[in-house]
Amino acid sequence: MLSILDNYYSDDVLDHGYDFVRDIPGAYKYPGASAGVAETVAAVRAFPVNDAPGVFGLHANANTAVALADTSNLLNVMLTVDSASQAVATPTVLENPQRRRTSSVGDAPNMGAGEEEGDRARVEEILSRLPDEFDLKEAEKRCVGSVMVWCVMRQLKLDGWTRALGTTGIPSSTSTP
Amino acid sequence: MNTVLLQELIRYNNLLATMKESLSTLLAAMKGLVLMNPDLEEVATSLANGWVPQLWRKVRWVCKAIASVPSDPHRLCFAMWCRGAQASYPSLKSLGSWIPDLLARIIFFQDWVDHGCPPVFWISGFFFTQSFLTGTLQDYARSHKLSIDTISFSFEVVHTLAEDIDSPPSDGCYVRGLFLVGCRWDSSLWALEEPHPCQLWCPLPVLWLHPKLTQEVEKETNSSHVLTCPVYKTSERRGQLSTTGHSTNFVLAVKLPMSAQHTETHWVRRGVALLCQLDS
Repeated sequence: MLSILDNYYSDDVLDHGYDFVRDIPGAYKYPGASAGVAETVAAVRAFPVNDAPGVFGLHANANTAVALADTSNLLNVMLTVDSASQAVATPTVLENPQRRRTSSVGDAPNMGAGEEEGDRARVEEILSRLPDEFDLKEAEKRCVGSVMVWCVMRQLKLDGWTRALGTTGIPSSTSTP
Repeated sequence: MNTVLLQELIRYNNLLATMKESLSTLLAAMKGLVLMNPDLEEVATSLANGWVPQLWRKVRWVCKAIASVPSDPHRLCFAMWCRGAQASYPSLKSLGSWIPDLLARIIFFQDWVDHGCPPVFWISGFFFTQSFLTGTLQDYARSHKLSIDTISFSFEVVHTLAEDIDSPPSDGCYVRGLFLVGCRWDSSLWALEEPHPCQLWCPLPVLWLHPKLTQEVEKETNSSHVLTCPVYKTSERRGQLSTTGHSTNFVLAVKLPMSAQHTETHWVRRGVALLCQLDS
């Protein structure tokens, strides 16, 4: 917010021809302190009807992002309305569990049978794609193993240093990291 | 880092268990073997509409998984955390892209279990990204015998591609999977630049999170032309303060180099941020 306000609350505003929005030169121009009422009103009326993203310092791509978000929202609303209308048109499974049972075994053909098959196939597909859970005991064993290897390597490194320092006559207690 | 890994595995196991249980029950309900309930109805509707069911988003943590980790020293603390936590990892993806994303996360962790720490971490894959970052700082603090309060991250964008990196850095870690929004990464200038028309996001090259003494990091920041760029988990860019003291969406602030013609204010107005994952 402070970054945006910097454009409007600045000493530069007093300069003649100051551009409030630098990304769109000339569109939001300050008419100048010497301009009369009519000239100022005309300048304000000349501002673009729809503000460009640059007014808030955003890139023109922001329009595309907003359009995408709007489309996504619209599609979600359509899906919700569609689901709601289906729920009103036909009793839900909770209201009439028998309906789904009958249609699923295929004893009585009805309008929802194909859709239900699709639902079931979708659930089965997701279930089949889910992998097994992680074997925590095995993972822990491997983690502990890698830590032990690291500790052994570190100890070997320390021993090596101690031996090397011992040959040079430097006391190991002062040089051990 | 092993503790981070085990905790992440427990979280994913809980999510997988919830998903399998709900789908199996739904399948049985469709066959008429069990009664439908509102939760299952919601799962069925969401699957039909291509949404991620609320039941999966709001995983009720089951601590039975923790009982199978016999010698985890943080078991009690983590069990308490699990009881407090309500949601699975934040994501705005639709079901069609959420499932492959989940599978990719599981592959990443399975690879970690099978082959040890990866040279480049996929930062988007973590349930609790902040714990991974704290783990990295802790590793550095222990190995250099420093207090963790005195160190923080210095950031460096790496020239090498993630696929070509085969060993971890000397200190800290390499991370991939971040997306720049509101600007793009210019590989020739090696700095942030204005995005191309209709370019809404841009992948950031591999980032090296290099722990250093906070004083050194501050000195580096003051002497360089960088933007403090927030990293979020999703494009929602807002979260809640959780009991751990972390945001549910904000991860950390990264310093990225800018070209000389731009100021930090310019990019703040542009709404520049790094995202761990996209919406699609």
